[in-house]
Amino acid sequence: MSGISLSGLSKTFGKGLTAVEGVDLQTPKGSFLSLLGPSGCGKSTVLRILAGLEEPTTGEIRVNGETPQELRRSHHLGIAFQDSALLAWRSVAANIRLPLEVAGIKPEPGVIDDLIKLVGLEGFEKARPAELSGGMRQRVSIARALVVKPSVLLLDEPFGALDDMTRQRLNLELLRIWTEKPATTLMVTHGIGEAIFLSDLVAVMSPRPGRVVEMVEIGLPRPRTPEMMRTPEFHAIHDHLSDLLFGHGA
Amino acid sequence: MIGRTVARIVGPLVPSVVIVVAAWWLALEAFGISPLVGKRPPQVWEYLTSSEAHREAVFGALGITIRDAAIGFVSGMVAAMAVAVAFVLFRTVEQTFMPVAMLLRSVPLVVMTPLITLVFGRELLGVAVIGGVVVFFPALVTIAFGLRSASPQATDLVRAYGGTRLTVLRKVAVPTAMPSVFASARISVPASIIGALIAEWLATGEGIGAEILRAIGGFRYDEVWADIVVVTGVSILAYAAVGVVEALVLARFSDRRPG
Repeated sequence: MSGISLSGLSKTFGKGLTAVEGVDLQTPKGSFLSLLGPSGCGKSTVLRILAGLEEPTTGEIRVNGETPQELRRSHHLGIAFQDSALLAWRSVAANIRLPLEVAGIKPEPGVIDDLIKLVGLEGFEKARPAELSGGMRQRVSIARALVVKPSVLLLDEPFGALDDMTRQRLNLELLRIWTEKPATTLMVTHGIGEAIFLSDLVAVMSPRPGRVVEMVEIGLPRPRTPEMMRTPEFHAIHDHLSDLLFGHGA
Repeated sequence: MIGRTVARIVGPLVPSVVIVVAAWWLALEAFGISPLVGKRPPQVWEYLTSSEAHREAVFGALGITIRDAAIGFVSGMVAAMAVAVAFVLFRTVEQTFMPVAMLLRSVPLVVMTPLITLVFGRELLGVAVIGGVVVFFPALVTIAFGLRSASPQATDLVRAYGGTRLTVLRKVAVPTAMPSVFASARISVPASIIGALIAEWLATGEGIGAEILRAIGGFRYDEVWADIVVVTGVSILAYAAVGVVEALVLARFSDRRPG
């Protein structure tokens, strides 16, 4: 069964600005896909269309066999943005609960506590976002994405605003969490290393208008370990993706 | 918590009151205003304490004015909140309504009041409309701005989880707008008293707004000054009371744990 399936996807905004054009891609269900590209290549637009936040101008979209609208209505979607988008007046636990409230689902007992444990924030249940570091806030936003037990996970540069060290650590955590709670995943990123490390497939996009230049299958075995980032295979893929992004000889 | 909040908000008012009373007294002396017309603080005190009838005249009228101001305050704030919500939910409502509102706003209230009394009568409904008009417009602009400052990311998030615009409003926009609601409530306190005085002067013929004119006509300047003092006092107290409620409610919506 196919996971994310886009065919002939285009999006033109009001005054003729074409964000993405003719995007076709297919991934298997339960796979991790990264959209890799420079800023302004429309990769976030693709994610927003999948989330049902934008209407495509043309094209067919199915995620695990559902349209974005069906996906929204059935509450099978988890989403996290670069901005943690936490509500400042809610505690960590109440922020994680938000998607359930919106969906009108009563949280099963222990679910919130388990998620807080999963993202390593025990003891911060009652803290408000302003009391947390940037990395901790993103952990909350990941936990919030998982609270609906999503079959589809959309991540828009979830750690893009964090420093390199925190980002590395959280990528490892994301890998662990994703292995524990697998979902068809789309991550938008401009980090080549993290795209390879986390993904089964990487779609490299060109800027303005956004097109998929190449779908690169990441052959590294799972479970992935940080040591793999030092193997020749990893470096070979890294070089190939850099070539696609920056052009040969650059 | 409540005691500390009250002290923090009411405390600074004490020196302000002292300064205002001193300025009142000094200004009258400095400009050489005759004590027959320009009553000093001790004369007002004397007037209010010397006779039960004086107190009845002043505080009886004050009670009516407080009622009128409360009616104007509540109707203006409720209408402003309802219309602000409609603006945020339906863009077209704002585009249609806002120019009309601004047009009406630029007609002075004193000119509009006779019209309002013709349409709504001289009873409490008329008072509600006149007072409401004074409170409504500034509150509308402030509250609509507050509702619209909701974080776009949080809005997207709620939408992606299947939330409607109404869900966004409930979960994101209304809590975000709480400080604006209270800011407009505080400004609306003195505004609602002005509205009540105008309504009493031009429509109902009772309360401080009417009595003060009768007192001037009857050369009862002690009463005039006493009216001014009690109305000002009530305005300050109501402002402080809104401030206390604001501090207590906003603690709930702040980015820190209440503590």
